[in-house]
Amino acid sequence: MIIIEVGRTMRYVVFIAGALILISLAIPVTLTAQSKVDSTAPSFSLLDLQGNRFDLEQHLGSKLTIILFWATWGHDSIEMLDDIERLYLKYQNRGLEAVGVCVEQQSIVDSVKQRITDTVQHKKISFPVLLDDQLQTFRRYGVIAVPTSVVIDANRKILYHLSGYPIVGREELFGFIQERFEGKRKINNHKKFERDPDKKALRLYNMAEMKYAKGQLDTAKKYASEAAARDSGFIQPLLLLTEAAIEERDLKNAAIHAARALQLEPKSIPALSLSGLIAAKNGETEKAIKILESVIMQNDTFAIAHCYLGYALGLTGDGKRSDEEFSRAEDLSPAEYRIPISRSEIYERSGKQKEAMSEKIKAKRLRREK
Amino acid sequence: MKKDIISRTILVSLFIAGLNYGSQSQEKEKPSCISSKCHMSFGKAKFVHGPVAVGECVTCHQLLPKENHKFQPVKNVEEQCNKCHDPMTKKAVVHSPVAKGECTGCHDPHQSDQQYQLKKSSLSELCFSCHKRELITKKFTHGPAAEGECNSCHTPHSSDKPKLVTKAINELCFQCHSDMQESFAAAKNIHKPALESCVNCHNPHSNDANYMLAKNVPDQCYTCHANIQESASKSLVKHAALDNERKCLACHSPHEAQHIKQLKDEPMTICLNCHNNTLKQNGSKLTDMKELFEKNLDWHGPIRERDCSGCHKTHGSDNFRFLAKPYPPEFYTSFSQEKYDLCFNCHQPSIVQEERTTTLTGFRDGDRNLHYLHINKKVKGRTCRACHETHASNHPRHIRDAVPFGQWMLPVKFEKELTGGKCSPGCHAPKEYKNKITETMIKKP
Repeated sequence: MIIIEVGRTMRYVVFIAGALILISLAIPVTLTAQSKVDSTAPSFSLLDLQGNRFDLEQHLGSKLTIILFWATWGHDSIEMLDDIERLYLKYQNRGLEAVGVCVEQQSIVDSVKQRITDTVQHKKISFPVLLDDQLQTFRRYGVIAVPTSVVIDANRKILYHLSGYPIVGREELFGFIQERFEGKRKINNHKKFERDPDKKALRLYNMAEMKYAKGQLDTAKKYASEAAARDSGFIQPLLLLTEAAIEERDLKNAAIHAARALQLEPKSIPALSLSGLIAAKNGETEKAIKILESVIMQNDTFAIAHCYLGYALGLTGDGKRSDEEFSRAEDLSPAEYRIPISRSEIYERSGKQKEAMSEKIKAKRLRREK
Repeated sequence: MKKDIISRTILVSLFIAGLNYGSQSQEKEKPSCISSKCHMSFGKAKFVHGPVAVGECVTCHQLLPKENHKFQPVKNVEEQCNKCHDPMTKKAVVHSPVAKGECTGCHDPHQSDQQYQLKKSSLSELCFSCHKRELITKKFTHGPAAEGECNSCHTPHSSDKPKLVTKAINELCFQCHSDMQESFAAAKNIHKPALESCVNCHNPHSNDANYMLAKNVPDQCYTCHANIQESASKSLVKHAALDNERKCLACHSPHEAQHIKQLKDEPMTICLNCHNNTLKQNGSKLTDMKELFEKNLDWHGPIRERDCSGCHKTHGSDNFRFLAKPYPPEFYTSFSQEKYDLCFNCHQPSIVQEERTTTLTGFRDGDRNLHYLHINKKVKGRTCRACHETHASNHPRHIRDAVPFGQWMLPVKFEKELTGGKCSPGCHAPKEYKNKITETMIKKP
């Protein structure tokens, strides 16, 4: 074939070539048409290392087939051989097939074949390995870099194509295959608080919570105050300060902290419940019952609200309803120590010392276990 | 449990009985050990032991028979305390004074101004009467330790966990560091030592390294990643990024990450955080890669996969531009496969070794391999960079617009055609090639 010199003018050829160049520039070059995702993978029939013929059509996996183009001269190829072998062993019985197409070089002589065989044996590869003598399959699949992994379904539709052994890409390939067999990985996005507080404030608050649960009120208050000072939008420390003040029978300060909490979040269920409790302890039982009933209307499953309503009703002498509310609270949150604390106070007021003592002991135990 | 209720009931009953005795003035006053004349300081502190509070000193101090004001010495403190209190030695790891039955080593049996009747002015003072204070006197101290809150993490009597901690290490840390727990739960990748135990890297009391690490970064990291230390320190070509203030933490998250290798972001995104302008290094200029990728849309494979480490050894190497393997920086060189190790890690070496081919490459005139023609020479073989832009270009197969040749930008002027292409480079007269396959070219296997 004689190389044609450009001196010979062929205007229409130049025009078409120029147009095609412009079109190709507009389309990012990613994959050749032969191995694009969603297209059909070319079928092939090659010899394996033992000289047996292998037809792709006869060996498709019921779910997926991985075709790995690899060569012994590529370190990344060897790594990918190991990775595919791992996947093959894991999902072989669930519909995964794998086949390695060795694209070692254009002509495979005996010494080259031996090198390939030695590699396969050394790596203990259990899936079929074929020899792409003359690199016809290499060309038909448009392979540029080795390894190249092509994942197809039972109808030879290309589902995934990975050129090379990139650190992110290969994890995504493995993830893709894993997902096909095991479903999507569930990520736990649960958060303790809706709003992300300042990190130091969060740690101070968590310490305060721990100390409060141990009954170390002074230390708990100290850390809660620091947390509130560090993050003025963080409501939890204010709630803890409210509770601590109530426990110390300092209703004045309790009301101040509760008011600050409600200023931050006017609809806060815990803050409203605490303000109901404060009202009850101040003798404003009607107001307390009203607040707590409205809280329960918004959220019937908030145990503390039922507990404090039981307390307020107990103060009015409505023992039956009070018991019902305490029981409901206990059903919702059996490990909540505030319930027996409130209940014991109502028992004491009605002269039931034995029951009051029993509730106090229970409260102490639950608090210690928290 | 049952003994706990009984002992508490006894204590409360004693208390109530004490109150009753006080309130009934008609009854004869029971003699008390505590009076204005004797043991007058007892019962005055903030926290008073139950029996002392109700004046029942004989609960612990047994009066000797036939003796007046002489008492049996308390020989076995632990046995005495266990008469009311649950034994504290139930779990696998027991605090030494507890194992020895030395309850009064820490607790005043009568009274104290500290909760639990502790003997010293604070909990930490008590702990440091045996434990070395140096535990918390280093440059950076863990919050609870600095506050003397030893019992935030440790239980003073016995535990199922080593070092008397109250919970398994990470579970313990997450009590305060709940944000970390949430991050771990949502993470794709968690650094193995962090997953196992926070104290693999952090000293929970105090240390001179930042964040109370055992050592400063990168020395801390090199404890496990010795191979990276070797790359970073012994490489001939070093990556300036490793000298930044944050060291390893500039790119890697030490705890959890959504990206592989604990990277804070996609590999290429991290690289472009610095390579987003022209950089000067050792007298040469490094291209603004971000601009290059924005202006050139045909990206080399590893770039398409957003993985700069496909070619560059990020922590340093012995090759030009810390490439992972050799790649000739010159325009001309005699051919040997080893010089092109970088390229032949992915690309067929036979692309430049086979004089005739119809499958290896489209850059052929019939079956005459033009890669072989250009590159495979003993003298003045063209290197890959003569025609190909390693990162990105606006031509198929990343063909360059021009290549630096001394002071001159040698134009390449490649044009792709339907059945081949043509070049009008500065190297030779314009030439065209056709790569249509004919019957005579196809070799039957």
